[in-house]
Amino acid sequence: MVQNVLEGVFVMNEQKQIDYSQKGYTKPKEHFIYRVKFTKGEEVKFIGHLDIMRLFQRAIKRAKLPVAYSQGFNPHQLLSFANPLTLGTTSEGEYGDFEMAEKIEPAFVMNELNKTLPKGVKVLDSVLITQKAQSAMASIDGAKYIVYADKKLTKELLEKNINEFLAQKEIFVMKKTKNNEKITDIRKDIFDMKNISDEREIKIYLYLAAGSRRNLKPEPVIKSFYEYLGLEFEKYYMKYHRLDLMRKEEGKGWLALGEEIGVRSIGGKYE
Amino acid sequence: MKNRIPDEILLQVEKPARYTGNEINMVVKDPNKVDIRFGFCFPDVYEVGMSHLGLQILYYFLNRREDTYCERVFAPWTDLEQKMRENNIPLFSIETQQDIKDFDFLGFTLQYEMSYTNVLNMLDLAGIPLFSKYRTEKDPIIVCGGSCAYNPEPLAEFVDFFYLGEGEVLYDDILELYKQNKKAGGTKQQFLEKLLQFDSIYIPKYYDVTYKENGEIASFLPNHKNARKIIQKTVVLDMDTVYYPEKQLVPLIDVVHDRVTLELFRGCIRGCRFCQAGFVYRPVREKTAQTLLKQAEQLVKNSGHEEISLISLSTSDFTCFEELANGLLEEFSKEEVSLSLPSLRIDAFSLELMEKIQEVRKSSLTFAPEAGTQRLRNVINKNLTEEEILRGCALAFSGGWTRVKLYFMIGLPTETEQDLKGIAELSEKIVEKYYELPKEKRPRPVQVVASSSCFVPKPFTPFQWDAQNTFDEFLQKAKTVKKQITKKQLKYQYHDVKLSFLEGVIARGDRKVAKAIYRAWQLGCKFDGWNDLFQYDKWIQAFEETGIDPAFYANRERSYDEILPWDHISVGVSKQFLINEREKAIKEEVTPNCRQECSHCGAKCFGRGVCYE
Ligand code: SF4
Ligand code: SF4
Repeated sequence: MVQNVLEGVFVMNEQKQIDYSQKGYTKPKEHFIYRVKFTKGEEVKFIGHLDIMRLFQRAIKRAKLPVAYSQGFNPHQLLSFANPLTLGTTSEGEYGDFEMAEKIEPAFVMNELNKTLPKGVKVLDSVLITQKAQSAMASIDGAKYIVYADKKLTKELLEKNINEFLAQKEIFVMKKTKNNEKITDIRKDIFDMKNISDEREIKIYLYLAAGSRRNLKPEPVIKSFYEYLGLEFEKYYMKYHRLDLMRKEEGKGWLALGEEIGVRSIGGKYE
Repeated sequence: MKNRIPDEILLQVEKPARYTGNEINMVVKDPNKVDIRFGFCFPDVYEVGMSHLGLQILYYFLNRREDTYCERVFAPWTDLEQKMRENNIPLFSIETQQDIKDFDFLGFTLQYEMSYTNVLNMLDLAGIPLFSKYRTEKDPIIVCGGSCAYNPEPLAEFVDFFYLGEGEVLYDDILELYKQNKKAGGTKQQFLEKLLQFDSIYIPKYYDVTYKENGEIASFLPNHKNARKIIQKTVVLDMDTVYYPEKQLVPLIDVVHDRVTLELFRGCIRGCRFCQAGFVYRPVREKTAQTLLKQAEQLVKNSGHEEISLISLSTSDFTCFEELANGLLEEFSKEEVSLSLPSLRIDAFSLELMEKIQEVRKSSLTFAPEAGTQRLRNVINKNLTEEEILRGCALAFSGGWTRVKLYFMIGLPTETEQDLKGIAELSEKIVEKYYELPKEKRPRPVQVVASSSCFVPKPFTPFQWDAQNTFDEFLQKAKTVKKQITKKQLKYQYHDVKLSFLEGVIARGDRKVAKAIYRAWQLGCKFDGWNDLFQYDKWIQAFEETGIDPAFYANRERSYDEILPWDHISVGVSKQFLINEREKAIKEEVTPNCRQECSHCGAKCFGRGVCYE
């Protein structure tokens, strides 16, 4: 009966993501889905995707929000999160879909969570989904980033070369897949790339394809740009920051994940 | 708070969030506005340390004092350690990310003998001299506590003082004393002398040891007029009024035990003769169900966890167990908070409770028969019959459980081949029990995992005089068990024999063993409890180079009149009682538990608890 810690038994609840676009998942009628936009700041940039999910489960519990649970032996909160962020990258445009069992003011979700979330995670927006919408994860088509480059890249160098770099018809990089590497053209996945440096920092704005169909992370773009310039690319000295996640809708063009899918108030008294 | 480790390094190590803090309920204070900085050092990696209840309690206990800032310190994993050494980054605390060498106290908790090299390594990483005699006024005071501190001798040369017993009792007084002494311009030396006023503080340098030619202790005597002959452990008397934190640190990454922990009681009524915890934590002191329900509510509210774990030795001996379990289920099952009971006795297990818990969630069950035959269970005073074990398993199976873990020990005193075969036989009977269920009640094949650990004789148990089995004996015995197993539903595992041997050496080590620990650390030993990092050869080399014979400590039977290295410590249980228990063990006689009948072990001296019920 006396066990030392190392022999301790891991009792982990399997927390699966719910993807309600999936077949076989019937969304119970009485559930209300809130799309929540949040930050992942410096303080939490080393927390992984699964841990962010756990962090929200607990915050929701502490905030006593009327979250909905799955049925079955291991009931779990019905939360799903968009596009995982690379460890070390900060963001002001993360999204999650939280299912509630009661209809409450979207601002209530936001404010109550903000009272209890750890430093670095802050809910910026909360929308009750009222229109036909895909899950946050499934709807992503693009992502916007700022890259903070290291000292090797000067403003002049950047200014002079960025357009030329983009003018290339094809930009080939080695992309790692599960088992091997393959040469891929990433040019078509770079929607935009701009110099936005200021007095203090060398900054590059990137608008890249993202999501389940096409996905490009900022690192290969910057790496290939450095190589293009003949500069040594030092992986661990770059900083990346995600600005937002975007979706493309027919007839409407590009929209942020939380735009035009629902309401920010249901007319309740809650402020 | 800026991270002590720069991003480019954090990006290259495993789980960087181990080092960056910011957890829910982390205490934030201005270090310049406190009198005392206390580093709570856990000599293992973050995930293990964060699962330790003692840390959670003492952290808030010390931080409830405005004049003290208690911060956490963990052993960095080897990847980060290497980078820290390359870049001259000394060991730092999680909260302020500042160097711990500037703290007033560093308190190490000793839960496991195999973490001792980590203690040394952490001091070294912090830039603090390892031997207490080489430390100066500038260095922090090094204090150790925890269950392994009851035999402090192997670490005696490295530690300024040992705190024997439960932390809530004396720390306020100690810190007050420290503050006064500091304000009055007193030295560390003066502070340590003042500590001699406490019954439960052991300061190794105030004692001299001499040895006989055969290596046994010849004398162990105080060399300071105020140093007491016997240092008495201290315990909390009233568990209902003692401080218990209303909140818990909630890690942002996955740790070993990630849930609300409710401590039901301390101590154990059972007195299994191999079990150190059963003796050193005596007497049993319980909390009331009311107190616990209140604490549970607070903890769940402040943490957001969805699982409550009831913690104690032998949980089902809790007198208000039903009341508590029902209360918790009533309160929390609608909130989707589940219960986990890590330490249940098979004989007291009720189907009713099982089914109630099952409503919420279900996992595998663990039982600890410890020995394969009734004869040997009598020897070790594991008061549990085969019939009770089988009945318990039958209940569990009909309740829908299909995974069972069984803990056994090999190498127990008086063990015969029959006892070893008994492990396999009992486990197979449990498998068969499952197939007695009607077919429609068997959703899937049963999985029984029997695992045996190697018996390590521990101080303050009736077997503290016994020889541990040798390496070869253990291996032979494990093979005997394995050969006996035929059923495919039954898996047998045994624990690392080498590790148990080393644990045996250190557990009953004296001051001389320090040399070998120090040498092993120099040779690169650390995280010895982690299979893949354990370097047995280096340890053997360390023993050889320092002239320490490990078999002298592990494999030698002692006589009752030998001075044992921990004889100057009292846990309340008398030596005579332990001798009686050992004699009874050999005669295969059992001793009733504290609630059946008091056996006058000595722990009544604390004046409270089960002895007075
Ligand atoms: S029941 Fe036995 S093994 Fe378990 S804690 Fe009590 S004395 Fe130790
Ligand atoms: S004095 Fe008696 S009741 Fe108290 S702990 Fe010892 S045996 Fe148990």
